[in-house]
Amino acid sequence: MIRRYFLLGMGLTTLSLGWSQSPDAVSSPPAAPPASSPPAAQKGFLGSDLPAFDPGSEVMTWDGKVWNIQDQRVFRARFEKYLNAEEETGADAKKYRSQFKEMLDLLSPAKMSKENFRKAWAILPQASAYEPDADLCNALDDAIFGVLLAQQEVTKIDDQNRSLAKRKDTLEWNSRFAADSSLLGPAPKNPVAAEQWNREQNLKRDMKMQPLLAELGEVNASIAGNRVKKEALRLQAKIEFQVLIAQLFLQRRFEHVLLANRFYRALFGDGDNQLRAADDYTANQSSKNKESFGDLGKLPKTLGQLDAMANEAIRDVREGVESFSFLLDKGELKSAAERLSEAFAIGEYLPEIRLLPRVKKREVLEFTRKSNQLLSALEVKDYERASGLVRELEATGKDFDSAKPMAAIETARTVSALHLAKARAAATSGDRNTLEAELRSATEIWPRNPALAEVSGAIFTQADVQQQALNDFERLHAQKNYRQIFEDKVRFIAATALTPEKQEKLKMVLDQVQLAESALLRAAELAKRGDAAGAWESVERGFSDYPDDPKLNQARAEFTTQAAEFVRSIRTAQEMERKQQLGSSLAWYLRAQQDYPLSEIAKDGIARISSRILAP
Amino acid sequence: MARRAHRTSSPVAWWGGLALIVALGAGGALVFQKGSDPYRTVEALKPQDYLENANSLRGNIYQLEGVIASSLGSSPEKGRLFSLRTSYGDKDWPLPVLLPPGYRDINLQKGQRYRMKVKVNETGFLEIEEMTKS
Repeated sequence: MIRRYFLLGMGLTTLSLGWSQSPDAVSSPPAAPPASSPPAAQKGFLGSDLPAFDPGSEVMTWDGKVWNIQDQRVFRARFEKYLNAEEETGADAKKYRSQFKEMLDLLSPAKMSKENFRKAWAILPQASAYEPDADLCNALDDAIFGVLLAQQEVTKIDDQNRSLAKRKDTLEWNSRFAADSSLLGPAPKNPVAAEQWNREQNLKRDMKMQPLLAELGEVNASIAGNRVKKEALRLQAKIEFQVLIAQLFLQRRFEHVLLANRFYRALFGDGDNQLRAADDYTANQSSKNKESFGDLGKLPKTLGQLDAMANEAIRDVREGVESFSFLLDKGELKSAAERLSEAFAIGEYLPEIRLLPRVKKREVLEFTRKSNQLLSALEVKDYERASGLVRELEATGKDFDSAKPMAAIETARTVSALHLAKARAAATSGDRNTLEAELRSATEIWPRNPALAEVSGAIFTQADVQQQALNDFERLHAQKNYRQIFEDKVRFIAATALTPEKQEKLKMVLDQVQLAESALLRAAELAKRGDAAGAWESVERGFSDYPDDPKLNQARAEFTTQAAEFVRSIRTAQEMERKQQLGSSLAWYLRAQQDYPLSEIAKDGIARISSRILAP
Repeated sequence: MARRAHRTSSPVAWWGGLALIVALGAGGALVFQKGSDPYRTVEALKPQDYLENANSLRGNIYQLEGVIASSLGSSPEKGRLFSLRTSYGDKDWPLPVLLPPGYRDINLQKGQRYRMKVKVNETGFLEIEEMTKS
């Protein structure tokens, strides 16, 4: 029993790998509406019990589960591997095919005989030597051997039963004889003696018959037990063989199915074609196993059905390959690739598929590869690459329909662009939360959008520049290099736009430098008119507000030389004032005013000291 | 004709007389001049000294002569403050002078020339003690 489960499990696992990992993997369309479900998925001639392919949606349906054959990575990989593989036209392959054909021929109903059966059976181990056979012929050979062993056992039981039947006959005769002989001899006349004689005679008869009857019962029980055992052995042998056939069917080894069926009919010539494997396994299949491999109770009910379905699959594959060749000649690569992939999905191991020349296959290989790349690109949302692949596929295949992929690509582009536009606006307004949210949305829709990298790069560069500018501002401010801040004011105004505290700081700096600039401009004007003292005074007044400005310092030094006497008077007056030499200070201010009557510094100094002197 | 006695004037006498006349003139001029400067006994102020360190001159009395350049302010308690343009050497030196409140009746006007006796007060200012038009 364990062995049977193992074989069936292996078969179903192979099928699962060949088609899909999970029905959830269906991605095209992502949420297929019920209306688009393949017709075969509905309850029909065979219900939903058998695999069915809908060419409209490229969906394979089996047991209520759906796979898109083009979307499955494993399938795609296998298909590409097949397209690159050389056709199986070697001597071994030819020999294998001829052996297979010979076996089918020997076991055909018209030629069926014990002799032909033995010949066919003898070929099985040879056919198994061919590597692509995957030792399936050996498995079949073993199964046949198992059936023959069971049949031998059945023959032994039959022989045993025959012996038991003879013994039964003997026992029955002996019992009858014993019963008859007990009545021989005259009975006494005396009624009392006669009654006693009769009791003794009956006792004697019972004593003679009892062992015979006991043995007869045992023989009957043995015969009945052997009959049950024989039937059980026959049924067991049938079921084991049927399981192997079902496994071959599920593995899509349709030729092996046909061959195994013919061997089955040769082995069990009782006309009983009922497929009991399903019934047997249905009773024992766990719910977990059903989830993994499907409900075995839904398999066909007779071997004839299985045989017909295998033949139908072979025919379908043959037609698919013919269609592929025709479409290839017409240059309709997409359809050709689709027909071939459908045929491959069903009849991967059939000669029609295996013998297809590599030259033909390679014609669609590039197209298929690009189609797969397009699917991958769409899966990972690499729309730029997908767009390029669509263009290439359009150029390669006359029948490639770019509407669906381009719709997906354009939609993603548009939505991504909208999010990016919002992100830009948020960046401009300093709305960091919205910026992050929009960038995240744009990234989710189209992760490899070149514009995304460009925009986010610009935004982040902007952020970097802003931070750098703020750092520079703080550094220059600490150095009191207000002139440099003033020179680069546009950059700092932009950088401090979002930080009111720094903005205020910058405003003070700019006002200060602006005053210095005004003083310098005024000084330059006065200097042009030859008013060196006025120019110096203008610079000096700016200097008192911003003593660290290099430009002011330079101008101050220059005009100091040009108006040396006046400058000396002012500076001495200021120095005297500082030393509380108010009389001398006032005299120096007066002297400075005499030298430059328009001097504001002198005027202010005179007024200041005079008021102090005259203060009560 | 009677011969007159020959009398000759000595050049020395001539030169001596001339010198006497000059000396008398100079002496007269000196006498006249000294008679018009009422503060001839008071030391004249050197503006440079004042500008250099007025505080060091506190308590000293000087005479000054100059032209009223401008009024710098006034207060009932402290008087009036003027700028007096004096000449010393080949330069004009404007100096601040304070006219105390006791001289209210003196009407000082810009451009008037005055000779004055000033004292460097405790605050280092030139405070007028006496003044006359010159």
